[in-house]
Amino acid sequence: MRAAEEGEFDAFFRQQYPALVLHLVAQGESLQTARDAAQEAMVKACQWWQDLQEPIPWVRLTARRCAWRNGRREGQRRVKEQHALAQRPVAEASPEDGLVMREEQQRVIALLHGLPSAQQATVAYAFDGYATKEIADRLNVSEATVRSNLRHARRQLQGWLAARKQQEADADDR
Amino acid sequence: MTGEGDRDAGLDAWALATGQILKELLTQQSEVEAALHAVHAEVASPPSTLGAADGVPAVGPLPSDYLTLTWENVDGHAVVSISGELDYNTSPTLESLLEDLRRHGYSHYVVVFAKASFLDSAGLNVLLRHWHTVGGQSGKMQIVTTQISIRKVLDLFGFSDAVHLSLDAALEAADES
Repeated sequence: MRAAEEGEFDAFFRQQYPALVLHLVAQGESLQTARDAAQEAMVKACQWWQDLQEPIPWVRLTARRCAWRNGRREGQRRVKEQHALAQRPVAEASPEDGLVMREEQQRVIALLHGLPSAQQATVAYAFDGYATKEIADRLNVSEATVRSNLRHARRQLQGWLAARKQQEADADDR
Repeated sequence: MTGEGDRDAGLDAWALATGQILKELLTQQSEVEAALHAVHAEVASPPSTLGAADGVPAVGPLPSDYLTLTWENVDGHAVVSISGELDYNTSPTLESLLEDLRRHGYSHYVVVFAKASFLDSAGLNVLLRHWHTVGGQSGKMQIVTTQISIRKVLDLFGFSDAVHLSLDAALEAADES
């Protein structure tokens, strides 16, 4: 890999790695499986960098395959644990606390994993910034279905987002 | 009264904004850098034994997880034997071997699927690329396989004339060209 390509890949990685992790988590993978798969796919992307025509969809597909291969069983076990965790009340603590961060991660992951799979697939692409029409084409459903899936997902996540905004507002007031 | 337009107002924007929040929540900046570092470290230490300091590929087996490659010089032809799986993960090893051999002046190749159990599109891609690199149609690359599944795939991609059942037949065809 030449220096220019390495810089190009690094920029791609910084921009895409968090999106890739979210994409996998939104599709029902555990955070650990998502991170491992994202990294594995990025290693391959780095090795094949010159040959990739469309790296963004390429790493998504590759990462999903890695996750599917590596994390099937383990992932499902974690999902169950996180479902149990989602039932617990929100802990009161300062946002600086790393533990709270993890707790919040787990709560939102549980919310995402609690969505029906059609909604999971829809939000996974919507979070990536795909337009309704593109998502409809990709998932082979109508645009109305995509919108309705998004509406339902928004309703599910609304409580969490509102609580988060409230917390941030409180933190700003202090 | 709420029309569909109203209910859907800002759905895309909502998704994009929420995606941004979630991305930051799931992956901290420091984790991105750590993962990037790990990727470079892994890429820098490939599993293959190729790429030794002097660049001359060793004669003999080149171990990989699922693929064993050996090569020998038979009357000026580079005969590369493949056993194992030629797939996405292992085909770069074959590609670098072929490339090294080409750089060392070999122009005629025989690729032997000895006990290859599997050939996928990535492996096929390597063969196709090499085929073009060494001059396309001029019979410089012969393939030996007795496996019907691999033969079928190669036929589909127009390798029919280059596919042989034995090494002797392949070498004969190579000498004729």
